[in-house]
Amino acid sequence: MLDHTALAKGLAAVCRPVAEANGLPNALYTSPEAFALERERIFQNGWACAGFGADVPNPGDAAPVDFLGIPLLLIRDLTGQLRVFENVCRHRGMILVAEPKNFGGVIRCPYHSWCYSQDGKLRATPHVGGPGINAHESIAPETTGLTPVSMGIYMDMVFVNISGSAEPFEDFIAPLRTRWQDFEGKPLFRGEGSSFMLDVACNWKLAVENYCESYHLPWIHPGLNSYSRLEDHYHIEARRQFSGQGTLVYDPRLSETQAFPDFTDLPPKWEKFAEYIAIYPNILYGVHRDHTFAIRLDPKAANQTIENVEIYYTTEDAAKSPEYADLRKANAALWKDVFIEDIFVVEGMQKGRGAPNFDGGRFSAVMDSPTHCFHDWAATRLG
Amino acid sequence: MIGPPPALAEIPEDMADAFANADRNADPATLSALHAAAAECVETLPERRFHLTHAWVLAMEAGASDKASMFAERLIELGALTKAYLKDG
Ligand code: FES
Ligand SMILES: [Fe+2]
Repeated sequence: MLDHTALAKGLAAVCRPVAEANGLPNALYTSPEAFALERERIFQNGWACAGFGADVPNPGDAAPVDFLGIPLLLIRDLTGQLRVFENVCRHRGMILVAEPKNFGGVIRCPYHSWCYSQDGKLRATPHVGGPGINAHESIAPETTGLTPVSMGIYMDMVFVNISGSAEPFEDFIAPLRTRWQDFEGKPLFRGEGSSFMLDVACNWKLAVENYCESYHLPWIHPGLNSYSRLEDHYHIEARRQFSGQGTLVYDPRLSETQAFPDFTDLPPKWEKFAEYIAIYPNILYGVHRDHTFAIRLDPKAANQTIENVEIYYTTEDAAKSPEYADLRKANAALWKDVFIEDIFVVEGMQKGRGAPNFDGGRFSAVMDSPTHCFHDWAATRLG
Repeated sequence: MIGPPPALAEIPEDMADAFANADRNADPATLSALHAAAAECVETLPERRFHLTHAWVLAMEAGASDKASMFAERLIELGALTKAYLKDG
C-alpha cells in the first residue's frame, strides 16, 4: 500500500531549494501504485510523446502504440495529416489495428467489420440492423467515429494529452521552441537503419535524471570526456518545463574523410555547441549542427522502461543514401554505446531504491540542479 | 445507376467452394468480387443484400471507391443502407 502521508512529506522535501532538497522518495521508483498515479497525473493529464511522424510517413500509414497500457493509433490520413485516435472499435471495443500497416481503403474492424476511414469517420456497420441491413436508427455514423486524442507535433515528435485537460500544445512547447528557434522549421529526415531500442530495468525517471546532468560524464563516458570535458558543459534549466545540459565543444569525429551536412543557416555558435534536453516527461532530445536524436521513454512498469531511439539528419541524402550508410552506422553505434554505458548506472540506481532508509538522496547544489529541476517538476505534478 | 435485376440463379459450385475456402485475411478486392458475383446469382432479396453488403465493405477496404459507391447505391435502393454512410452524406 502506498503511504500517501509519507509520499506528501517526501514530495515537500523535493521542492526545497536544491541545496536543502532530497530526491523523490523510493516508492515512486518501486511501487506499482505510485506508477499508476504517475500514469494518471503525469502521462494522461499532461503532454507526453507517443511516437514519431516518421512512424507513419505515407498517407494511409497507421501504427498502433501501447501508451502505458492505453491503445493508441497513429495514422496519416489521405490528405497527409497525422492524427491520433484511441485504437479501439466503437462497437464492442475490439483493438482495431494490431500492427503497423498501410490502409489504402477503410480500416475494417477484424471482429464484426465496422469500418472507419483514415480520418476516423464511421463508414460501415454491416448487418447492424439485422442480416443484410446496414443501418439502424440507434447508431448515428456522424457521432460514432473513432475517438480522437489531443495531439501536437514538434520536431517530428507526436505528443498526446489523453485527458484533454492540459494547456494548449503550443503553450506547452513554446519555451523549448524559443530556446531552439535556430532549428525551427528545419526539415528532419529519420536516418535509415538508425533506429534502435533498449530494454532497461529501471524506472523511467532514472533515465531522465541521468540524461539531465553532465556530472557523470567523466566517470561513465570516459570516451566522450576525452574531448568533451566536464568544464566544457553548461546546465540548461527551465523551471517546471525542461532541463538538461549543453556542450561547448561539439566535434564529430566519425570519419577522416566524410561528414554529415549541417542544417542550413544556423548561427555560428552551433559550430561548437550541442544541447541535450529532457522534455518532461518522456523525451530525451539531442541537437547538433549535423544531426539530432530523440529517445522516447516508454514506461512499462515501475522498474522497466523501453528506450526507443531515433536519429535524424539534415538532408534526405544523409538520412537515406548508401553514400552515407557507413557514416550513419558509425553514428548510431557511437550513440548506442553511450546509451548502453548509462544502463549500468540507471539499473544500479533502481536497485538502490530498495534500501528502506534511502531518503531520495542529496543533490550537488552545483552539478545536480538540472536533475533537481526535473524532480521539482515531478513532485509538483504528483503533489 | 442501378440496372434491371439480374437473372437469379444458384451460386455455382466453384463459387460455393471459393467461399468455403475463403480465408478471413484474403485479399479484400478478390473477396469483394466474389460476393458481387454471388449477389447476382442468389434467389432472394435477403441473400442479395447479404452479398452486396460484403461486396461493399470489402471494396471499401480495398480502396476501390468507385465500386464501393456502386454497391452502396444498390444497397440504398434495396433498403439496406442510408445515405448517412456515404462519404459526403
Ligand atoms: S467490435 Fe468492431 S465491429 Fe464489433
Ligand atoms: Fe550518460
